[in-house]
Amino acid sequence: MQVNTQPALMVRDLHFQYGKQPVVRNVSMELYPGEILAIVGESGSGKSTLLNLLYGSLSPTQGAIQASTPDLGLRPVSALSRQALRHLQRTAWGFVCQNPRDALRMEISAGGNIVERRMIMGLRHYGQLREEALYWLQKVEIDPTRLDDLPETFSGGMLQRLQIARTLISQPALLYLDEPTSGLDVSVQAALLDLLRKLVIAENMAVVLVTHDLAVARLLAQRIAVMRQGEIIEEGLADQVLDDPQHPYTQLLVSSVLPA
Amino acid sequence: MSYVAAKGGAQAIHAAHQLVAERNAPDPDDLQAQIARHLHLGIDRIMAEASLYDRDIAAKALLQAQGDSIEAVFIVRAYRATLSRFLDSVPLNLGQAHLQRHISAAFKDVPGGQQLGATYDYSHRLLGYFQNLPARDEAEASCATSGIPPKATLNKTSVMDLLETEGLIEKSSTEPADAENRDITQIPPGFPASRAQRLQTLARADEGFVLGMAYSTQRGYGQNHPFIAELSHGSVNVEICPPELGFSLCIGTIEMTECQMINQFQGDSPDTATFTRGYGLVFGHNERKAIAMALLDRALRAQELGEKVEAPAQDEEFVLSHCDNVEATGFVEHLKLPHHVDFQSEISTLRALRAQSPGTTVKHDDAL
Amino acid sequence: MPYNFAYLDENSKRAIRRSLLKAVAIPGHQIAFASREMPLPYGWGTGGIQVTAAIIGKDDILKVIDQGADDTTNAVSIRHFFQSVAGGIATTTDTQQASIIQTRHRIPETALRADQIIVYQVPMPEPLFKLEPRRTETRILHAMADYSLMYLQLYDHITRYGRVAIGYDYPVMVHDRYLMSPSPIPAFDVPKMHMNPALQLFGAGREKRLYAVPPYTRVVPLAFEDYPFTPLQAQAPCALCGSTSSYKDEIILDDSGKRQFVCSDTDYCGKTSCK
Repeated sequence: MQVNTQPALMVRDLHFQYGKQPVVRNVSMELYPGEILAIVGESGSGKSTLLNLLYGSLSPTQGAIQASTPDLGLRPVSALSRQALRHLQRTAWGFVCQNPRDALRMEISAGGNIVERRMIMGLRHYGQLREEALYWLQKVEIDPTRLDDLPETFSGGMLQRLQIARTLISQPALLYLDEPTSGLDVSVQAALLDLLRKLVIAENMAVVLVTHDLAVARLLAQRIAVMRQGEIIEEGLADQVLDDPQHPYTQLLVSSVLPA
Repeated sequence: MSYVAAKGGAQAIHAAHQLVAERNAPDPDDLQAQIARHLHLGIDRIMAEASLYDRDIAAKALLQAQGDSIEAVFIVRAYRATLSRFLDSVPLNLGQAHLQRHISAAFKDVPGGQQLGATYDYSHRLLGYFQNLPARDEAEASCATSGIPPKATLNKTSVMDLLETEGLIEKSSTEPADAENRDITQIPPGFPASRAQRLQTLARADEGFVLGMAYSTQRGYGQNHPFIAELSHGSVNVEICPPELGFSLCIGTIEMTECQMINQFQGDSPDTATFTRGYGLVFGHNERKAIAMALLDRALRAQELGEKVEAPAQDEEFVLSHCDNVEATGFVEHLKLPHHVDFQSEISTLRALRAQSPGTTVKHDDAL
Repeated sequence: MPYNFAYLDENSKRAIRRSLLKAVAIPGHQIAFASREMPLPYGWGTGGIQVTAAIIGKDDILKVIDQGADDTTNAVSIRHFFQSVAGGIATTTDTQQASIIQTRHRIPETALRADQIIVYQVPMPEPLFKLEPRRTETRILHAMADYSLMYLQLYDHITRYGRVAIGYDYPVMVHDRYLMSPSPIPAFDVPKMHMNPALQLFGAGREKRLYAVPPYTRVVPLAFEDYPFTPLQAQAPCALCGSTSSYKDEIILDDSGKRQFVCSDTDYCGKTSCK
């Protein structure tokens, strides 16, 4: 693991509540480039909300998030203008959601979907856009002849690969993955996880992965944080947390007593 | 062949306004005849939405309904239900229609000529406008038509035919009207509806509903890039062919308005890309309805043409189930009827719920 | 019935002029305005008519064209309207004589001057509406200057058809900031908007929006570096004046589908054939 002196993400005492209901409580964390942190926990533990807070889609009730920007290094997310935030979200940061249909433009060709971020970054050369689209299509192991097809004609696994290509093409410094494989067959899941790991390591990204599936966390992450009722109750190296859990809840989770 | 289409617009407009003014001249006859004459566009709308072409009956209904056109449609529909049908007419030959108005927005001049006819299109919506027109000029009498001489209005070639010959527009449907498609008032349509069933439904649909839905497609809710190839209003012969005779007889003429709409091209490659069609046809003189119907017809073909069905106007079941104003007004207005019993049971249920847990809020163990 | 000069009352005209000033100050940006019901229907040019009514004075010389021609029915109708409600104003068909040119779907072939104003009638001021129908969304996209949606459309056009298949209402960037609908003029006319000495005003009555391109402003059609903007036009010279540089209408001559191409700008055509 390569650790830079400058973290890609710093979170201090984060709180968030819907109405009177606290959803995220007292969360602090640091993440360095090249690191993959998995946040695990059962459904309703607040982990997806946490991810949306980190990405800037939700504003915290209390606490501070500082995230990596290409020009100015770590910047408080709450201090960003809407324009700056949106630009970062669509270039320097990435978010892969569980249902690729929520992120893809279904009426635009696969190639168009892949290169949208490059257009946002100002690339105005059709030939080069096409070349990059083809390159990324192959990188996520989709048949290059499908370049001009509409996503509608793709299988679930292919759609998720397409979303990954579309997100990674801008080489984001920060990547958020929200249950990226949970809608897929087991065999498709394994191949996709393998692919994700290769890509993320090659690009030296800082990754926060949210999953309810401990197997996915073990396969991808170096560090694991266990969330319960909005709080991180245990955090450590992946093997350590999974092989020698300290918190009774983590012990239940690992021994699969709790439903995933 | 002289080129005249670009000139003469001013005279054509003046002549068009004179035609409107002449129809507005007072009539000494009785009230119903006056309604049929002076409110003839209103009568046309009632005939179209009631699916019965009879000016006198529509006028009578409008009078009885005190000018409420949906009520009048309802009355005529109820009367129509009592009529027995003895024959289907031979399909109308609109190419043989005697046209009072014929315009194209896609081309500057077309076979049959641009014939302005009686129209409000270029009038100004100022009170008393038609009473204050300058006197009619003899020279203007013949100015309502431009371009190719009027004799071409008979048996004319359509703009769509010309585009089809060039392969620029999809072929017109040759789907034969089978028995099930023939009359939606005899055999009710289900979903998916055939195009014949859909067009019949739209032809009698509420003008306001069709207009609103068509408008939504123009504002981006269901993509549409329409051009009017031809909009015609005229009289056409109705013929029947009694089996015992074996030849057809003309039993009268009716006025119709037809709209042939060219729409955005479809197809994935340059050689298969063609324009697509939308079609509108209504009883009487009603251009608004014919155009809106053509837009909606095209929007409703989304699925057939492989487009994504996203907008309300593309949703066949939504549009066809809610476009009939007699059905709609009945159900909306039926809320005036007593509903004491239903409401009583709702009140009792709510009271029971309240009594169960006064002031308690539901607690969740876990977040979200 | 007597009406105020140019139909609208002075306060309404002033309100429209204030919106126009705002529009000129932010080139290409759509300004909301309280559009009035005019005695012509929506879709006939009520936006353009309101703009013209708000700016016209007794000394102005008005030219009205539709599809490039002064004598098309709608142009005649709008010219008559101003003649009847703005008594005393002069009208002309001569592009060079006009101080205000109200137009639907064309820009005259004759180059405009700094002392002229061209008023466009606009049906759909929102250039993104075919890609995103919700105006609440498109407003955000404009604020963010996020036009990737339109570039995606161009990308898919080139992929599918080998070129950008937009023939009219071709999207343009104004002053390198706002994406703008040039109104449904043919793509052929778009280059005339760029660095034009005349003030260009746009009125959309039904959609209640005004916008403007001030004199000498950059107006650049969207394109890719390797697929530059290439408008199409009729190949044949004008059958009447022989012009090879003007935009042509296609006229069907007879039932066998025989065609002829003639200038759509009748004023230009008349002058060219006189020479």
